[in-house]
Amino acid sequence: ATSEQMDDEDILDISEQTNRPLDDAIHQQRVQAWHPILDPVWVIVSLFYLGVILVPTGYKIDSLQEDVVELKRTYDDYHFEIDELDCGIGEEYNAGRKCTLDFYPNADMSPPVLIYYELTNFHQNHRSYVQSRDDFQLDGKVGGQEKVQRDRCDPLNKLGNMTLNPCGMIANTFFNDIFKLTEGVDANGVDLVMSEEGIAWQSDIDWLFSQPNGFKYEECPETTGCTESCCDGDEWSCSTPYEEGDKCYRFYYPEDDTTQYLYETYPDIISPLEGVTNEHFIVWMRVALQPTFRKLYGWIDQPIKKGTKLSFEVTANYVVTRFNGSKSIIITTNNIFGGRNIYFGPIFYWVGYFCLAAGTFFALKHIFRPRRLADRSYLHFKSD
Amino acid sequence: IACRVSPKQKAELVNLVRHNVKPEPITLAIGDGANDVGMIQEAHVGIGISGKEGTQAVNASDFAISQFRFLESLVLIHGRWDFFRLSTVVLYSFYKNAVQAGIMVIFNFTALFSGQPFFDQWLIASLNFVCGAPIIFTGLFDRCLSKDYVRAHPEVYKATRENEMITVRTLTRWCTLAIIHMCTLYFFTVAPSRNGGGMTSAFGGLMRNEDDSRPGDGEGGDWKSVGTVTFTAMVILLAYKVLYESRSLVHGRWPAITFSKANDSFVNRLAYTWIGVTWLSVAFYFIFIAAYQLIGRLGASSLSPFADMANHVLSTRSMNWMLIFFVPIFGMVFDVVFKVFSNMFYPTQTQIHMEIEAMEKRERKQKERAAKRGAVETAQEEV
Repeated sequence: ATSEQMDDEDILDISEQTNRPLDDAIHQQRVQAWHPILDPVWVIVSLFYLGVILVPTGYKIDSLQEDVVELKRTYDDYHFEIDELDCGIGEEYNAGRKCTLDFYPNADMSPPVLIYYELTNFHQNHRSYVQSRDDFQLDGKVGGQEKVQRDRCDPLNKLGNMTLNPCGMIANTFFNDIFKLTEGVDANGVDLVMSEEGIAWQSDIDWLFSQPNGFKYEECPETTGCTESCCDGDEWSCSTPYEEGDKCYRFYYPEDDTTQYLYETYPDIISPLEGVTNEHFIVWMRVALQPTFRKLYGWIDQPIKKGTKLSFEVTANYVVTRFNGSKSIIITTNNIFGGRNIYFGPIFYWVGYFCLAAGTFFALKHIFRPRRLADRSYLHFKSD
Repeated sequence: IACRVSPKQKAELVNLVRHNVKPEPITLAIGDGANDVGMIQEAHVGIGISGKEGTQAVNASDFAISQFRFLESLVLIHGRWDFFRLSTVVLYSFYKNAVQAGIMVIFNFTALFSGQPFFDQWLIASLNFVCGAPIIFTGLFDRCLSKDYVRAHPEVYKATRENEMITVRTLTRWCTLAIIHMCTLYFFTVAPSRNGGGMTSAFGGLMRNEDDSRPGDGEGGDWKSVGTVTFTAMVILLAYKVLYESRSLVHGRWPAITFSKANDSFVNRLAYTWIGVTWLSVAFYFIFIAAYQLIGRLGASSLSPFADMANHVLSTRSMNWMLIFFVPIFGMVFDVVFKVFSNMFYPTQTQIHMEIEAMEKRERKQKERAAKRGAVETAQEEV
């Protein structure tokens, strides 16, 4: 018997082949697919198409930046000579030096007019800095700090023998300059008001920052009035009542005699009633991306005409000379993408130009010296 | 071909070839009996034929086939496909993680090299979950040249033998593109988010109908927000990259869901490539961050810092959408330009074969259409 005959006898009928795999698309690997080859004509057309879309888009975005009116003044710097502005405080922490900065917009400003402070050379993005916080404390936990959090906040867990709440570097390098809008009228002659609310993320206020568990406050009762006796008793931890507007409040912070809370570290900015829920503080706690950054301080919801005098009284407390940084105040409007952005537009039109250039290069090559598709002369069978 | 040899001598034969030929070749041994076990184990690829002489050879082998003639299909078709799939998966997997790590390295230039990650920790951990599906589908389904074409032109196997997919040229291309993509993703998302770019667009853009008393909600120049935007752009770019590096995009047949015959079930009609890229990668990522951001609402934890991040990144800043849409396209522009350049000036053998296959398929379709038209015309004439 020849081998062929043996093979014919060995092969079973299809109906008897129990191990035969299914003859469907999945098992036979023929699920319908598209096998694209890079057709140069398609690519050249697409590159031109893309270039034609991107270049005008880039220029349009650039033109939007011109609508933004931005006024900036650096008022303290590490090599700043104290001049007529008198804002430089050198290394005097919490100097409380007051100075006035005047601004004259060079164009009409439409609401919202946003006021920022800008710091340079401050690495909020350094790993040790970013980790140096205790999110549980910020959300209201008192005591029972876990070792992980304690290690992260080291060495700013205690100040002397007082526990710091909130601990860590981020909370205790809080920017504590104060800006007050003292002079300015809007387009209708109404005095300008700078609001310091609405500057932080609502979700941060709702979910991530809370007063310590057990905190409470109430208005001073009529029996004691606004005197020290308002805070009498173990129920209240204040030493004197807190005045806000024309009301007096007494409050209770747990373990206040062994803990230094935020309102005690920054009494000029943080009221004891809000503590860590103060919006300036929440804005500061959201660490910035780069060493030069700006953070929202306040905003004005009124239109400002060109040339109006805006006066800001700055109370300088924050020392920047130690890290060779600088402080600036920025007053700006915005467009649909944000503030003045000098990189956004150029990205589009430079890539657009690149697309057009590449498309032109390939088109010329394809017209004058084309590499024909499926050109068998490129195939070689012998090894080199 | 060896016969009338003892099992030990068969193994020695394979050994001789393996260690005395320079450069060391990849050896394959095929046999069907217990006396072939030695040589099957000695060779790189051992193939056992199951059948009359029992299952000893099959038990010891790497691959088992039932007839000797299947060897052609195994080596030429499936071995070749497997080579391309494996190479693509390996190269892409390194590339994917290199891009993520590289972006973090570039970021550290501005973070004093303190080792600060650029992305939220759980986003980093999720990379291989949200970006893993597309390349797995490529590894399963990618077909470089069809079965018929390879059988008709077996010389295409030469590229496989010469390791065409992992050469200095290929690795240079992947490394260069990884670096270009890292830089594109980082600089094109970070530069527009610095200073003025990170400012709120309150009263305009996507904030137009939001609460007018809270402009701060649109602030997005902070570390976590920009990192999330870059990560989103990266997920989309990695999805585009898989589509670009695949040689077959499985689109299945529509409709995929059918309730009829067993052989034609929806498993055979699904558009695997598109499902992998859209639902299992990009959509999965968006669903993941939408869910992850909610954990912060349950109270402070190691997961709470991400609270509401997806909302802020995606629904308060129009610039983010411009970046998420365009930056991956910018990344792919470089890819396309590179490949077209290499195709025009230094095409690979496989590229030429793919073009020939496409041309032959086109010509075949035209002939069929012409034949149909001819048949219709003759039918009409007869009528």
